[in-house]
Amino acid sequence: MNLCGAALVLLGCLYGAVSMTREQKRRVAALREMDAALERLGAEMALRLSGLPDLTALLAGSSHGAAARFFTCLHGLLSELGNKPFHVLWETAVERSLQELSAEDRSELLRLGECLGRYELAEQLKALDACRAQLGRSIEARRSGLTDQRRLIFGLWLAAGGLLCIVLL
Amino acid sequence: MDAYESALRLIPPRYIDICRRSCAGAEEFRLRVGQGMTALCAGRERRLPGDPLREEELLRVLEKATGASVHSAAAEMARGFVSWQGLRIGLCGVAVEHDGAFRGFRSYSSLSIRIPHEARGACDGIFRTMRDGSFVNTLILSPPGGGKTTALRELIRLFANSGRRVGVVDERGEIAAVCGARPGFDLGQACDVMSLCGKREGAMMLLRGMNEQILAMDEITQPEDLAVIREIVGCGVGILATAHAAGAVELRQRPLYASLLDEQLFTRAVLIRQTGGERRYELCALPA
Repeated sequence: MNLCGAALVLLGCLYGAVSMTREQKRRVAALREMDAALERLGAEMALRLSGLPDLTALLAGSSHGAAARFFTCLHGLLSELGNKPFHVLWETAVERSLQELSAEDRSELLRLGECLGRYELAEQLKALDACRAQLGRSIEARRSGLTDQRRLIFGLWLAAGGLLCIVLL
Repeated sequence: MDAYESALRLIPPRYIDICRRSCAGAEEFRLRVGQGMTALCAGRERRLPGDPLREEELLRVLEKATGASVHSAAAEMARGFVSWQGLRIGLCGVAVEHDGAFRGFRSYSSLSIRIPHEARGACDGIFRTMRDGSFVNTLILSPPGGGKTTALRELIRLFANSGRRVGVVDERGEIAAVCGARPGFDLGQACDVMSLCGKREGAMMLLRGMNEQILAMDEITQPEDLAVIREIVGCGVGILATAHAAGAVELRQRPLYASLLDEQLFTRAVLIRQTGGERRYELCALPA
């Protein structure tokens, strides 16, 4: 019975470690998806000068994962345009649909929302580049730290599980 | 969606119910900072009850009309208007110029939301005469707000449904009210619309790419427009256009239009006369 209990504790700890690692991977994936969507946003803006309602509809349909979630949410919120300013709607969409991103990444996205649609095309593209650069740095930092973090997380959880087993046995 | 309903979605929310109750069928809404909103009904501007408008409210209207996308609307704004779902929103305020070129507005003092109307059947009578024989270049004449664009839209639809290919250069997005890829108004089966581009560029693209038989355009107002018409006439394509003038005599008095007559670029006119709130359409020959 004691051995069974110890095995369950160890399995639980292993599951905790796997979930934490998966969460880290999900964050990196969300950053990549947002980065790709923003790249397309800039390209469509520069090529077709499309308005933001058209662009959000396009990206809601063509993006993946977190970016699709974000642009779908934003496109829905745009029905309130005229009652609420665009940057407020953008902020609401960021807060509602990109919670897996760090506060730093989210605040960079909020800065972008204050610029989008408001200034001339060149200014907006500059702001998009700045935002993508920040997302790129975050992706790189998270990706390079992912292996070490994975080892650390697994090590800590298994050590905690092992200790608990010793105490229980 | 009905153009009037679109206009109601655009105005400050506190005026929506007032407009629904008291001015259905208005031709224009006018918003001026520090004044109450007004509605133009049957040619008369009427003030609606309510507190004076704030600039913030005008900005919200504009943000909606441009889709919060200055980069998309900049070219139109530089010409003093924005188009939204077939509505033309005229802009007025403190302009910003850079190197002698208009860059935008620092602040907005007035907006005018023009609501287009359809007048199905209004031009059936004159169309019966116009369709006989080969097409004659025709100018639709009336004073501002007299219904030229409405008549133009109606004639485009009739010609396009009668088997002729009609190309429309919709510089202000008012004729077709294209939303997405579809015209908001029925312009007939054989109609191709080039929206929100200059007359010259639009006309030349339609001629080169679409092989049209008739080209339609709104408001001949500048010498450049005349140059475009000369080019089109030279290509053997018919023209249907509008101009601000009460009649042929007034047309002759204005130097820009006098050359149109001298060169016989247009030989027929549709005159729109307003009598007691009703519009009457008459065909007449334009003297050389």
